[in-house]
Amino acid sequence: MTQYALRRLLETVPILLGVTLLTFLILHLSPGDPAVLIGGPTATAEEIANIRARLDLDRPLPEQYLTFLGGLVRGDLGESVQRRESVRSMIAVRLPNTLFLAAASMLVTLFGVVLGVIAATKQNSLTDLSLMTVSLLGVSIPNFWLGLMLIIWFSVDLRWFPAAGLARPFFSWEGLQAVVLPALTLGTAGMALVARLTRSGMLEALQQDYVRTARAKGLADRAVVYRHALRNTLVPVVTILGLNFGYLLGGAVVTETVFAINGIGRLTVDSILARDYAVVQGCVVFIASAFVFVNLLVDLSYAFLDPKLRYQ
Amino acid sequence: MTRLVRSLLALALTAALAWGAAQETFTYAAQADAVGLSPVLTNDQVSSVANRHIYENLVRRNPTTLELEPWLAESWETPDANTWIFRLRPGITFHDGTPFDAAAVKRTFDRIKDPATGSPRASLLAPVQTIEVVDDLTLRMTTGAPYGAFLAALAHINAAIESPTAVEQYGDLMRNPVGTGPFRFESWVSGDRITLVTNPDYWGGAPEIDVFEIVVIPDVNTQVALLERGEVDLLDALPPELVARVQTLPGVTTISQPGTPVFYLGFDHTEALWQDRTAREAIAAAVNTEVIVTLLQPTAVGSCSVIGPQVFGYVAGVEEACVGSDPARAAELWGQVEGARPITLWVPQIGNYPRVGQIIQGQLSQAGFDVSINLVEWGAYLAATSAGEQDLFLLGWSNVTADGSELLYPNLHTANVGASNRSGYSNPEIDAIIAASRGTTDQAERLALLDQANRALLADVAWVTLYHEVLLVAHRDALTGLEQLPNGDWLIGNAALAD
Repeated sequence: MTQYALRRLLETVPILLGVTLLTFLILHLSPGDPAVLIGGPTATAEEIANIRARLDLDRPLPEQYLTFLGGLVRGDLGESVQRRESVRSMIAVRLPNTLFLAAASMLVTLFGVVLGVIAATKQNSLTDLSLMTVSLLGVSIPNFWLGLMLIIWFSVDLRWFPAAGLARPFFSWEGLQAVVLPALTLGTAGMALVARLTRSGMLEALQQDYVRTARAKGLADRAVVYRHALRNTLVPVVTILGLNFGYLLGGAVVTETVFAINGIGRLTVDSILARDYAVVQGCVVFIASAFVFVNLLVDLSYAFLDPKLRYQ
Repeated sequence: MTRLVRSLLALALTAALAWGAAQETFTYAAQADAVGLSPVLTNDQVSSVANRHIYENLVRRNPTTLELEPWLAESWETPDANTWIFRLRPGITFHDGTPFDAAAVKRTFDRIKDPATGSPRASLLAPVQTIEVVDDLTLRMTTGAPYGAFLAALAHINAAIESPTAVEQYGDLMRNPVGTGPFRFESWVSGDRITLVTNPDYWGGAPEIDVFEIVVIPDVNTQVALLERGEVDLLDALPPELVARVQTLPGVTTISQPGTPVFYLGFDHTEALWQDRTAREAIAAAVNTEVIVTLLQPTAVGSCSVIGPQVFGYVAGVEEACVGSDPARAAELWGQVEGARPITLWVPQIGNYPRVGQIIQGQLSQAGFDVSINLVEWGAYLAATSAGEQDLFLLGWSNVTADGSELLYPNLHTANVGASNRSGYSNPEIDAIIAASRGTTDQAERLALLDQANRALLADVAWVTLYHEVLLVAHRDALTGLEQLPNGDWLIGNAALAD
């Protein structure tokens, strides 16, 4: 298994190289110019040329890419062309917020497993119907709308939770209070998806012979459901959770925008809109690395969930 | 002894609480983070909000009279049309203790003019040829030709004065701003908030507000929720659809002021079709700007003038020179145009443009034009319109200097085709009038020239002015003394919070 993990880690090198090259090409081939955006509509041609020279954007593209790669090897992600700020520090400032929000949202998402089990064990009951209706709504509701509604109800009207931002320290009363609404907003769709997935997996598992055997042996219902049926259902659920966590690290831009959370997703989108090449590259490297790492952990967890799976 | 210690502790605690209670923190919600805090290197709205409070200019526009008045410069004289001698206010220091003097002004202006700096508004000082320190508090500048809008250019935030010591130390002041203004820089959490604190030694008297926080709240609905909760004191980017809601919030005041920004429907004048005035007139006749102004209420005011009512160069009644809305005539004119073809309306995907674009598409279609919309992301839009890829297009100009020459020269003078003159408009006769308006310092003469240029542009249908912006600021009732300018700037140097 160690050998497998090492091989997978080594495989990330060409993946990340490919990702950086692709990002670089897409950014530079798509229309738009950071110098024009910095100058704004008022800039003259001379002003734009001077801005471009100041930011080294007039150097040949291969040279710019190689400079970026050279820096990456040394752990230096470069400097924002727009803001003259180190990309590493820009990511470092936002990383704790992103991780905390992602972790809190994962807790909400994980709750979907519990809901799925309840729905499956009470198949076709009112509870099952209610849970599945709610989960259908959870998957369908756009999260910007959900976020705004939560702000209006719980923040403006009831004043239970703050409307924006994360409070430090995270693990204080204020910190936990501040993460509730964004975590619910971000985690609801995942929770609903996981609930539906768990329910269907559980329904199938509960029909299997080994479950019947376990019941025939006289095992308690709880043990049958959680130790036998659920464990066999978890492989696809964990895969979804892994992908979802990767998404939470980089793709939470809507929730981050609605709740004014200073995270990696918003940084990525803002930088794309500003054509801030170095920052986009840095964010993409981070998000891709996180995705690869989380999915490696997911793959490794399969062995624990299903001993039949072996790594080569 | 114990009693004495207790009394002292109680006194200290009371003093601390009183100090804490007296701390006035003003919070402004911005939709984006500032790009940087060097006025020389930035040109975005949020940076300007911070920079307006950290730095100051030689000249400023009075928030009440809107006239240009001395600021860091105490007075000036113009011995001849090309020479400006500024006498600086004595006894002013930058936040880092550096004395404010003529050398500091020269250093800033030299930096703006140096191509290596890459200043986005270097053109403001382009006509300046020499900058000379006469003595500590006297500066002489000469221009190649008379520069009519010079004082307005000097009042632009990009011409604010930086501390030379800080520039020496940091290279640029993007993240280490040091000016002479009423607030000092305290901290900046990238993407989250900028904190400024009062400058106790401010030459104009320390502000009553102790802390000025600019917090990044990208979603405008969330901004309104925070204003309602009393966690934000001021919003200035309200879309028209939210104004009614904000106006009903208890404890919130909304103030509006006709502004300098102008929004227009432009033509690509480099295309043979749009070089035909009849084609341009047909478009102008098909568009009914009243509908757009009504839709955008209360954030727009109607006037078909290129130079808006709040901009120097506007003369009341100029609207008579406009092509009026007349769809039937538009169809008739379009029928006379050789090479009439389907039109693409380029619309940037930002602000009110998409909604305005849809209305114009509808109006043109009703008048018989075949129009499709090309909705483009802002960054790509600026690049495409600069390269002349557009057909018909929507754009605006914020007019920070509030001077007509600084509107017409960048947007409609031949010298700026391929950059800020995105419509590629080139008319030698009008070029000459615009150049003359910049080339005299006699303000009455300038006004007459700008009016002449404005009328000529309207008669030639250089573009179709859609509306002029009305600037809206919503703030908590507790805030008093806010100063608002028609170019969108607002100042809290003389403001206070009642609670």
